[in-house]
Amino acid sequence: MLGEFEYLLLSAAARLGEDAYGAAIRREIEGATKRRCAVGALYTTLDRLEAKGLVTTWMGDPTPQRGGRPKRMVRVTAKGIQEAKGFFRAVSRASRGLSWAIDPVKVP
Amino acid sequence: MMRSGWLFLSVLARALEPAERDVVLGDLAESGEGVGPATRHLLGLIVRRQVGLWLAWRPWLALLGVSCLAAVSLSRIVYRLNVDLHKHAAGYATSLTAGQEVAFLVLLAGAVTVWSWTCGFVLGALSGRAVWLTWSVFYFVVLDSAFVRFVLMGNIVLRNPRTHEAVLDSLQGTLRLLMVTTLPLSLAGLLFAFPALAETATVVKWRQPGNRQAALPRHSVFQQGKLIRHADRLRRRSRNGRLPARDGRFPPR
Repeated sequence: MLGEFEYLLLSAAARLGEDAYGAAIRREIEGATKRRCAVGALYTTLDRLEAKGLVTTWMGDPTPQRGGRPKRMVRVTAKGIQEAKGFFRAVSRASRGLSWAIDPVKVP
Repeated sequence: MMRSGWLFLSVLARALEPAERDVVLGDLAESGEGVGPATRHLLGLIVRRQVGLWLAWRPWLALLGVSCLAAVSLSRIVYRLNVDLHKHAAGYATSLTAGQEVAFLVLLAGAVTVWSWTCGFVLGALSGRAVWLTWSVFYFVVLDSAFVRFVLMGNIVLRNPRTHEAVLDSLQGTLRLLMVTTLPLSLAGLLFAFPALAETATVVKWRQPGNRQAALPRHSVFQQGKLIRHADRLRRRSRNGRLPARDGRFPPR
């Protein structure tokens, strides 16, 4: 089963699609959680997910915005999507009937 | 971010793998964070990576096997060489002839160099990016274990409030102590520090030494065994009084 941060990372990478890379995923997670996302946590979790076969990563092209440095591009694998679905279903089942799950939080 | 800030971050990022270093510095540049938060992020990643390295057995083997055990044995040979070099320079009377004494010193120096080189190879091959810690421990154990032994035995007094003649009782003495315990100031110290450092750096750069490179330490261990045996034989023969001293006479029993 995935961890909370692993699920957040997979969701952000899946939402970004072809544009998923380190800094963009970090922005996406910070936007969703309204909390700071540490670079260390992001890259160590990304390594763990890659080792589990849930994502694949490769070096992207360097851009002037990044001082000519490359990006680490991320793509969620089919296995990663299955794991994320499983996590979501488990959280949904666990939340059934609970007061905070009856009135879903409005997403701005 | 200021240029000096980037320079600092680039130096700090050298603790990471080259590919990851570029990616992370690029992310920090893109996010436009200040030096403070960027340093925090970078340090966080470095700490996580270093902790991750120590979850494997190889750095532990390097630390315990080479930096602690082998380094203590090497420190004894380095100390022996240091003392004998001083004795030789001062013209201290020994039971060896001049030629034998030089041969003994050369053999001992060769053993120190080869052993240090071998330790450097093994440290580099086992430690990976944890090498800065295993090498530092190795260096200070070899350099300072004789000194620590003398302090523990009471031969060196660090502080003496009654006489004020101890090492740490004056600024000069303290600075000298700091230099002696951190820098390889003697010839023996240089003979151990440079081969070990050069070989560690080479192996870390290669990453995966090939079969030929891996065969070198095996060969060197064999050679240093021969060197030490030769040196020991020279000393034992002189102790038995079978060899004349530098002036041609045999030492008194």
